[in-house]
Amino acid sequence: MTLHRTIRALAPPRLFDVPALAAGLADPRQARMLLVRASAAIVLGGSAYGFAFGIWRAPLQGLYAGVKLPAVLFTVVAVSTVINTILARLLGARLTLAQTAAAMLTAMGGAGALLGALAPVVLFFVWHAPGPDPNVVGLPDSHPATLRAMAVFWPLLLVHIAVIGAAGLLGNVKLYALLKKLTNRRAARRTLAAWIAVAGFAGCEIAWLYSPFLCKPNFPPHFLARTYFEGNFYEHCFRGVRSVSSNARERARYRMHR
Amino acid sequence: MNTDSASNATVSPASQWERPPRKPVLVDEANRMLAADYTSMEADLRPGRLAEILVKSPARALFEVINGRSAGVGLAALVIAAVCMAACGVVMGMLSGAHQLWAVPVKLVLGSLASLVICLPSLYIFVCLSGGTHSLAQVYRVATLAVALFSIILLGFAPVVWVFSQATSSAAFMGFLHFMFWGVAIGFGLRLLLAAFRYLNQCEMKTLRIWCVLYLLVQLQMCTTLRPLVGEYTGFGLQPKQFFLSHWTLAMAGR
Repeated sequence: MTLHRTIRALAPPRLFDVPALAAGLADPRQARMLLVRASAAIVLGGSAYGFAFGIWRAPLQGLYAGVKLPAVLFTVVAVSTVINTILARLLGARLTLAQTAAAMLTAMGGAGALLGALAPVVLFFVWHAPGPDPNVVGLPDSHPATLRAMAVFWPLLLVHIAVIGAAGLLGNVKLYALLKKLTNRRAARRTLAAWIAVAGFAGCEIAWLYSPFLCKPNFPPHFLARTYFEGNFYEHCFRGVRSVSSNARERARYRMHR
Repeated sequence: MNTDSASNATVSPASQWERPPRKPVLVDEANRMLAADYTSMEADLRPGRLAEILVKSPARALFEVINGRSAGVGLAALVIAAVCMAACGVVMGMLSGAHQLWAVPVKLVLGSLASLVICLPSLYIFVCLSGGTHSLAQVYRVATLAVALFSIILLGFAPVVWVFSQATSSAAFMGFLHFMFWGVAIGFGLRLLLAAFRYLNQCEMKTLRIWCVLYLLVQLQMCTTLRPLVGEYTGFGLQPKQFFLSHWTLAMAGR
């Protein structure tokens, strides 16, 4: 009976029920249940999706990713709560630090529930993707066999990033109704835009620090990258763009000389 | 003068940003489709009777799912879906005959069931996200009604498919024909699902459209996984893994 009650209390409809969320933010007693509910959704949903994320490389990588994805969601909330409270105040939403943390955790809970629900669908599609070639482990990135194996890795990674990004966005957009209930439409819109920008900016870097989730086929499954804190996500993107443009310049020069 | 200042005083600065609520067109449409017949079935729950009600007045089946004999309706809808899919499979298998006559029905029934199971958690979350308050069991039963209607319509096309299958031996043409009829049938099934949730929750449930796309993708991939559904029998086991788009590309290139 207690288990049944617990399951009913943690059921997803309550996670998306705006009046109940607004009441939860106002009343500390209800806030505790709200936080438990959101945390449970993050842990269960994030783990399920994380497993579907890493399973393409190996079941062990799936387990690693299943542990790390909820950690990413919790870390995003932890690092952006203070700045989001300040931004909310500046943009006209009178929220306390605790209310901001609870609202963000709820948004991430929504994202977690969504990710968990999408896990079977993603697992079904990942199952159809050609698996990684076990013979490329230990080969350099530039080896032709590795490049062939990467032909599946990159599209799969992009799909996962798109799904997680969309789930995060949907979870946060649900906050709009909540913020509108607490403030007015204008302040809610501005605050939400600022929160999404902060969560996106910090989320990319935090996910980068917790990587790999999918793991390249030429590396054995591992929990954390060995090149830890050497550069950040944005530097890596910048270097990637620069190398693509320099490669294009090289190719153009080569064509001119021919 | 006084009246003006009084009315200005009542308008709060925030209210100038408030837009008037939009007219819920989709909810009105769902109400038109379902509200008139939303009463009890007042009859036994035989699958044949439910199939008739699903085609004529689906709101009555929906009423039973929400208010009445929900478990019975869910089970009867599943039986309808399985029987109709199996019959469609037999007609589909007639193009090649022999082993395809039993293999295709089995694959179609299992595939439809697997698609529903894979997509059910996401349907539940999308319903919650769109403002719905129904339990997982209720969402599952509404989904079975939609799948049952989809199967009935697919079975309705079976005689047409049979005529064509007797006149041609082209698997590509028959594949295209099945795809077309599948599109029409699933369109009606999803229309019932969307209308049901819009009617029950009296809101537009816009994010449910994302789920519909997801369900279509899963169904298309399931057809590729269970291939060949049209064409010669190559054993009951699964063929090599392939994404449905790459399979179609190869099929169109004749490889």
